[in-house]
Amino acid sequence: MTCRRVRAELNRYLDGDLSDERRRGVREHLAACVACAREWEQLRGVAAMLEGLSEVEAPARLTESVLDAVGRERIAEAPRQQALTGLALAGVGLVLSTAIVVSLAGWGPLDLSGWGAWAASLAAAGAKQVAVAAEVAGPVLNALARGRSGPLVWLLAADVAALMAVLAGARRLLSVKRLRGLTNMLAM
Amino acid sequence: MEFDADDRLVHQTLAGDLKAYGALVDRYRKRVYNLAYRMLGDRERAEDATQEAFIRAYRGLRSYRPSARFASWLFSTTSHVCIDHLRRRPFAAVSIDEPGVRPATAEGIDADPPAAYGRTETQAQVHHALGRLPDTQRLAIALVHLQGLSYEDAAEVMGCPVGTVKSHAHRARTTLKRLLTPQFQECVP
Ligand SMILES: [Zn+2]
Repeated sequence: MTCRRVRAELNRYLDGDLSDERRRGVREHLAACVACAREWEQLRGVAAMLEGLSEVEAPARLTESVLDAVGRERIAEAPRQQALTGLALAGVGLVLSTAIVVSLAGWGPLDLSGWGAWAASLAAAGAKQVAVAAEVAGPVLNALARGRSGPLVWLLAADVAALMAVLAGARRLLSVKRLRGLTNMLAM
Repeated sequence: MEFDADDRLVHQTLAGDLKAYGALVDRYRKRVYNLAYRMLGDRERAEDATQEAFIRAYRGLRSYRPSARFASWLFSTTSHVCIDHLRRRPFAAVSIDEPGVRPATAEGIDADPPAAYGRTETQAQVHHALGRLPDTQRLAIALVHLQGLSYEDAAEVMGCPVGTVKSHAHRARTTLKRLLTPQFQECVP
């Protein structure tokens, strides 16, 4: 083996990455060639120096500061979670009450006030969770409750409340957190 | 065994147990910090990067799959954080922060002051020489020689083929040989 060839193999020799035959070739050359043997000792010296680097001590406060930061994030996530629940509830209410309004309008005076109340309570629950929507939906529902209150009017009120809740919830979700946060939540 | 314990802690963290994450940080704090220290050069930046790596890892914990080793996944996050830091500011060793200037007391260095001085001096030289390597070469060296990872694990961390990690490490060692033993430099016949 030539010196040039041996030197090109020294790193792989160090890693134990050579075939038996090559390894023997390098070993025999190193035993006979002083210059290459010195190169080899230097390379081994580098590996030894690297492995001899002592570890530095990590500041113990790191754990606390990480947990502080991460805990704050978790707390900040809670309102978004509520907003998502509100959004889902309001959405269900919206779909139900719309279906009933449509069926009432099409099939005449069916007594569906039980369904209507359920849809309204779902929408209201959603609205309650989304503070902005609750402020709008509350007075509307109250005013309607005091006045004439056929089932259709109730349902329309529920519809309006649910729609407001959905819109407000969506707006709030998107403004509170950027899209990444939203996709994280949806992935759960 | 160790990896099972990591996965259990990851699972508990995902279930909302913040203490479990604290235990993970305790387990890997030193290794992450040392990787960051050798990558960035000084302790202050290493501390920032370590904190950032653990926060980033927490946020991305749902994307961790137990099929990979938690340590590899965490080192990979740490490497990304360090590379981001290095884009803003390259490796810079602060001399007052070198192990050689302020040796760790736990090492019993006082027992033999002249030898200890020589040793810590060498440590500082090696640390500075690391800073003269390209970032990816330094990362390969830090993972293989300082963290004791196999080339396969280092490749997993770096997200590249094993052969690439080897060639980074080989080039780095050849450069370090030149930087750390200049008095012996000779032409290859
Ligand atoms: Zn030779």
